[in-house]
Amino acid sequence: MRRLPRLKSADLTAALLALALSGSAVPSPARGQESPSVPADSVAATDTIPSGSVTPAEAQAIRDTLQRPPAQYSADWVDVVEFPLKVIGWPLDLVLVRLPAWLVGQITAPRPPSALMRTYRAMSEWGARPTIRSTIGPRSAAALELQFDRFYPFYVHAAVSRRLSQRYRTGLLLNGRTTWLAAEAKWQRDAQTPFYGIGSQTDADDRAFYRRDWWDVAARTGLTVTPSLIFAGGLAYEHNYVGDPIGTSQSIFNDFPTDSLYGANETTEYLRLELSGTLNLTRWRDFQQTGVTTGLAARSFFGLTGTDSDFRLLTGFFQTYLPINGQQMFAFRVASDISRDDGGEGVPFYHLSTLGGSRSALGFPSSRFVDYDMLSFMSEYRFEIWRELHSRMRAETFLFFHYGAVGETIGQIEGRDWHPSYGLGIRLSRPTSLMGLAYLGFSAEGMTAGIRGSWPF
Amino acid sequence: MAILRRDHGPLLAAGLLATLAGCAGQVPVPVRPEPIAYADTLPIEEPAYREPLEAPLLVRDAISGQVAKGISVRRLVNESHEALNVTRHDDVVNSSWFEHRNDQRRLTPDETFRGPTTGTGPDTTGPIVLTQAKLQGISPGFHIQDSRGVRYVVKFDPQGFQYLSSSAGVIANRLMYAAGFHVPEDYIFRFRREHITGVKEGATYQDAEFVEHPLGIELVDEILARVDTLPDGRFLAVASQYVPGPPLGPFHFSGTREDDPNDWYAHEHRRDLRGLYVVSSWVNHVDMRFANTMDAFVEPGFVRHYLIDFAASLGSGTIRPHNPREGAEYNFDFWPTMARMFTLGFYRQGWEREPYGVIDPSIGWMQVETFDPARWKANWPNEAFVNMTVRDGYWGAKLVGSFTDAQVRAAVRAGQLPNEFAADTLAAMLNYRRDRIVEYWYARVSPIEGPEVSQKREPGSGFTLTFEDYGIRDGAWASNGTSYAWSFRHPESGLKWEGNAAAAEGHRQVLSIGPGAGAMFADPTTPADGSLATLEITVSGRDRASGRSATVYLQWDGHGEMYRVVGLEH
Repeated sequence: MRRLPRLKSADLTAALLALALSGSAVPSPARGQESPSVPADSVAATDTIPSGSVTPAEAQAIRDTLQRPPAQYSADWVDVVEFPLKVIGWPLDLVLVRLPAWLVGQITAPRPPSALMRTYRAMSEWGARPTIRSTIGPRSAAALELQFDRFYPFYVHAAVSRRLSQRYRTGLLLNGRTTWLAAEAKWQRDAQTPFYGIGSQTDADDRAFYRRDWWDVAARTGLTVTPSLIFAGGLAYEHNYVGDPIGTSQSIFNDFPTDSLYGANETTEYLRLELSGTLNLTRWRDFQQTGVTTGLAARSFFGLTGTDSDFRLLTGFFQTYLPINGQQMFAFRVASDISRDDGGEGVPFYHLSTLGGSRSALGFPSSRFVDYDMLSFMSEYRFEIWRELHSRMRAETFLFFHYGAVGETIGQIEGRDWHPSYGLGIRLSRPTSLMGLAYLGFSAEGMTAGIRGSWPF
Repeated sequence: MAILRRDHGPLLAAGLLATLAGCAGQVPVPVRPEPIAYADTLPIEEPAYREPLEAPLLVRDAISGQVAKGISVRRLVNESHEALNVTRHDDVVNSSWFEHRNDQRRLTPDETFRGPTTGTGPDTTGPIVLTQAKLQGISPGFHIQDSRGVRYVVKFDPQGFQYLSSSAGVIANRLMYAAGFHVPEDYIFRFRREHITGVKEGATYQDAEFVEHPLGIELVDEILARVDTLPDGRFLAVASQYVPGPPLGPFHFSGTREDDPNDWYAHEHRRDLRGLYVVSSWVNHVDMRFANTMDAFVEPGFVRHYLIDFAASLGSGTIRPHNPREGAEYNFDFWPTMARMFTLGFYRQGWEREPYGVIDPSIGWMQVETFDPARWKANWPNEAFVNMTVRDGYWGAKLVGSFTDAQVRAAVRAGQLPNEFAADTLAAMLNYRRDRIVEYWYARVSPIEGPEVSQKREPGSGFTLTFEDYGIRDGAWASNGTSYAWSFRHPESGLKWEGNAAAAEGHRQVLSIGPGAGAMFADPTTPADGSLATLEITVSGRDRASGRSATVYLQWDGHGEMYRVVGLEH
């Protein structure tokens, strides 16, 4: 490239001034201009850089003298306009992107396992595995459970939740090709079970809590007639005690006339007979379930010793999945709980049917409405919003509308007894199973939110 | 030092410079310094190996990068920054990142076939030892060293899809090399189990607990048990020779490497990395990301930047054939995900309706008729690709357009596909995609190259300019129906000429630049020596919209009494 003639000083000043105003400085011509050269091999060949051995320090001195295009852009009017956007966006970026990105990095970073992880693995290998459960009972909150399975099929599990609900169980599980046999003894404390009164017109502000401590010693068996059709039955002893809740002073004993609540002031003992059947004609395919599943369960309670109460509980459900295409689908569920007196004092209040929570009405808290019978219609529209590159995971948004009621009998349910709730959430699933979901639910009483590791449908 | 001389007041020169600066947003083309070839190969102290976590980068680029791109004021007002390392002729110089190869001297088919290789791959005539387990990536493999002491990473194809990733890797390796990028020597490697005779002394691997264990030969058997064999009982793999020099870890597509004083330009503003988008789209290298790059400290002591691991190219998704989503959407594509969410799942991208079927197990699946050069996406965004401008895209398209059918066929032959149908089909697909890329990017600009003033006339009466129309050369359009609208301005002398000329046959064109009938010009005066003029040329076609005009910068040489080309901008 030919060198260009020198500018006279006055002209230079003007040119410099103009360029300074446009944000650029007049550069010196670069040394050794050249057109792109013919292909070179891998040897570093230059016609401007001295050949021969050059130390890094000498190279730095050379580098400092090189005239080349600047490494940064000059500021312009767009930078001025964007500056306030960047100021606003920076904290959002920090909190919503960079912090989660950092967390992802920390979680996924390959590193030697911590002492805690080594302890966990050692315990799991030995047969005593700590695990976290999202729930162990009504309104228990998350719980830490220790599962001792070293002498499987014999097991011992112990769990304590954030709200001090507890569950201790031990038993035996024998699995055959088509049958299974289980025997289990369990003691459970539901520390803060909510209660709003009985009926469909109870007031959310009337919420109170109770504690239920109960024993359950059961023997069960099951028969897998086909992979889709399973029957189970069992016999159990149940012992119940109701007292003041733990962790809150809002007790049903203060807020409700518990004399009329059978089971509140009495210790009850029952012999329980169980029978159930499930027909599961669903299948997973490419992240979607199709088909139908239905089930029926009956439990008969016979009062023992001083318990003057016999009753029956019947639970049924029907679920169906209707894909529209590979990305969109509907899911429907109908569920009903029926409880009937068979004599004596009747059904203890903690065994009555309930409406609310993931089983029946997501926009309401669990056990929001209580009565003898419950009927619930649940519908969801699910659609894919993201799929992992190798189809190992999928995210769906789901919109739900639930419509449920409680009443003395289903036949007596009237219009005003129905409680709608609706909302949306995000599901994360593997090709053949749900990994978890998060949701926001709305109803006339407000909002609920939650994260679940499992879902009834 | 300074470079302008004027005859008419200082303000004119200053005004021209300021105007040019304002238009370009940076120092004007004929004024700014030129990048220096291989300036980044000056010796430095050896940097340390580093491998930052990739997950945070991917999350950041996938979310905030996409959001920023969507609401960028600079993009909205079409004031995107052009690349920093550009010459006055809108090109780049050879460097530790890129070397001009096929675009400047067309390689022979044989050279294309050989690519970067200097040998024949792992030597099976002597013992081969296992040196390391392959811990990164999703395809099975291991590291070996042959009897010559040369080390390789060996990777296998997924079961049921023999040749899929190994051939794709080698073919893309050849094309990337010929395009100008630094790549390792990749070989199709056929071997028998007996060729791997043992384990290198002292070789170890780390288990999930990060505990070191001696490496055992059983690792080879475990991996080979999951690999298909060839009809003659041998195994097929791709063997990628270690890059020369100690590896220093991957390079980012943004920022610079702090411990490399030669790393002058931020990577997201390098023309070679931005233009790599177009070459990657051609070979469908959807896994172009940080983890598939490698910096190496090479003799005589500088960092060279390599692209490695092309197993997810062409129709191969490494462990399975590609599906229509790859190349069309990011692994997490923020805006389409939001669109699906807010349209309740009814928003659909084109790829979701695309028919899909594996063409042949050895070549997988790749978009052909529905390939859109401007909408291609790697699996993960990176800043360099996001910052690509039309000029960068055109530059990358020139690399792609320089390949002939014979060269493509030679590169495909290097993949040693098992049958002619697969080879022919893949070559045809590559040719088709090449042609679409050329048609698209060349039409966005006026692809004139190599302008030269070939004839002088009396001052003020014009000159002749010759140039190459790359659109004609590379088959984007025919000369028949193509025309060149030009506009010449020489502010200092008051010259203003305009004209239009039909293209002549062939890609070499000649324009007569001068006053035509009715041309407007001031009272002609002899231009000042060294004064600048501009010639804008717009290539137009009968059936297509015109792209941006190309600007040729000319300087008046008073001694030779003719203009000389001092710059070109598309």
